[in-house]
Amino acid sequence: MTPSFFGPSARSLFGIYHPPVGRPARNRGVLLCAPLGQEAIRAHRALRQLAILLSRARYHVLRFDYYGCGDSAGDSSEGHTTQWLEDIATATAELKDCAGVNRVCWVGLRYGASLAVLAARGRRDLDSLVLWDPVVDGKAYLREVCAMHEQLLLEELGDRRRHRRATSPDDAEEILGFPLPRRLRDEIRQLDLLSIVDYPVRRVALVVSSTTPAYDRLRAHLSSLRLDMTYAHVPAEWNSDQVMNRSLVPMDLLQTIVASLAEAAA
Amino acid sequence: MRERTLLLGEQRGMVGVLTEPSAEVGAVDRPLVVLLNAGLLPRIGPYRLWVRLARQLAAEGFAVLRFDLSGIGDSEPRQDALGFEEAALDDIRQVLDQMARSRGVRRFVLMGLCSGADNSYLAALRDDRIVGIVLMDGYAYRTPGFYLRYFGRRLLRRRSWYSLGRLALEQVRARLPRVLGPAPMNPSVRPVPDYVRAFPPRAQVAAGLRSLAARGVHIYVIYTSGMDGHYNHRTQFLRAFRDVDFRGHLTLDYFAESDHTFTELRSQRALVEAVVAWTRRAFPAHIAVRSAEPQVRSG
Repeated sequence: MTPSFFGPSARSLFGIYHPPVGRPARNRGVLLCAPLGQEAIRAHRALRQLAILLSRARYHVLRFDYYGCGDSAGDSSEGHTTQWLEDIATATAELKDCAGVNRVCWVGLRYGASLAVLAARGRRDLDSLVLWDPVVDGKAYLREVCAMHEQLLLEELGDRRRHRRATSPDDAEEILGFPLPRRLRDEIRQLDLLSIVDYPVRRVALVVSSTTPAYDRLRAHLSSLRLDMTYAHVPAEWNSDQVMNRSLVPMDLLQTIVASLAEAAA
Repeated sequence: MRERTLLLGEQRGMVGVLTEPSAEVGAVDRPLVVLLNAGLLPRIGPYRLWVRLARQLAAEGFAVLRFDLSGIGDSEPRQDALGFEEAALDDIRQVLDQMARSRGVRRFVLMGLCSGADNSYLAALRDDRIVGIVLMDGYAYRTPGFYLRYFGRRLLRRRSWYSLGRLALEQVRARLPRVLGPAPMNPSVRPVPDYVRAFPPRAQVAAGLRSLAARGVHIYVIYTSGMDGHYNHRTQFLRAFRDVDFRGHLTLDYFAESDHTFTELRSQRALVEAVVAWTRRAFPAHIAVRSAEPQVRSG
């Protein structure tokens, strides 16, 4: 495990490289693309565990924080989708450099999965994409996180919260403890994974912890794209403060992701 | 301001990020600020608050280290069988020793929320190099005034008798010897996490605070309304510790509009502003000269 800052000095990104454990090392790197805001904090333990499992499966693994997120440079109000797509490219270059590999796989969680899909366009070094609980529809995502935000504040602040205006997906400026600047809100609102047909990868795995109509639609959409597509529903809870505070990780789901990458490489 | 990663501890298994001030504002011999994990949250703190705090303190001339205790965030678990508290205190000792050896740091200020506050206080009791602590939602002790306010606000509410019963039940539980576990901090909100927090007896903490005050340790105590089952007035801390002479080293704040983890951005801004202002006041650049340094315990 090697933590470091990398990338341009004004926009340095924090990352942790997990080298392969055991030999022969695979000639593939795996980049983990985290979710945003509080979801990233909730998923931290799971993504760390996933990195460890993948390194034990002899992959080179890099997990990192986008600009304005985690330990990376930038204020939380400065991050936006365009920047984060660039960050994925920067992190991929760092992974290839650390590992000495030419080809990579990306595993993205929630908005990180959606970013991975957007960032994949035009690349020639991607082997496979794993989309874990991806955000399919930006507008629905905003509604969902706004509802989570309201619920959290009601629980935490009780009566003091009741007198304030409810958070709306149209003009929310903060979500679950993090700023939601207008630019980012607009970018998220425009996201529609069902409109994307350009997947320059050999294989896409859709791994979901719950079944929703949106995931069904995405599954059908991916199936229609003549991709080598796999789908797995592994019931798991990870996206709540309660689960985070119990330090649980969705081990079955993580194992499914590792197996999916191994199959792709076979 | 610049930041770099560090591997910390005797096994180099703990991950930290050191934020250093630029040469223009960095004052020689100012204490190193160390930000501790809040419960199981990674070192960036709740909602990344420790990152913002570290960077703003660095802008004021303080070097700041945030790191993950063993088994939390990015850090490897320990290989021994020490309990949560003893392991945390040993981790902190190792980190402070390393910063003293590698950077010549002689004074430290520890800051933490919840378990981080508890660890800051407990570490300060053991280590003379710690000259300041910021305790956010640390140990709290109910006073007669607490009960008056608690019941006064609730008696006119519809659910008052339910609340009364709940508090009474909590009191009974708190007095039972650990058979039922300690009273939960906010039982209506969250399930009890794996890490169970227990407050030591008040008299024991009073003795500890006396020893810190005698050493001249600067103490900043902050409570939020997230502790309203235990704490509901700015001065309750003073009432609870009337038998402690803080010798002018205590600063007290109550964030009545904030929850336990400072979820709202306005609470976050207020907290960072308050902590930065306190640190600047407690450790001004002009006293950071060698002749004014306290003696450092050897060995």
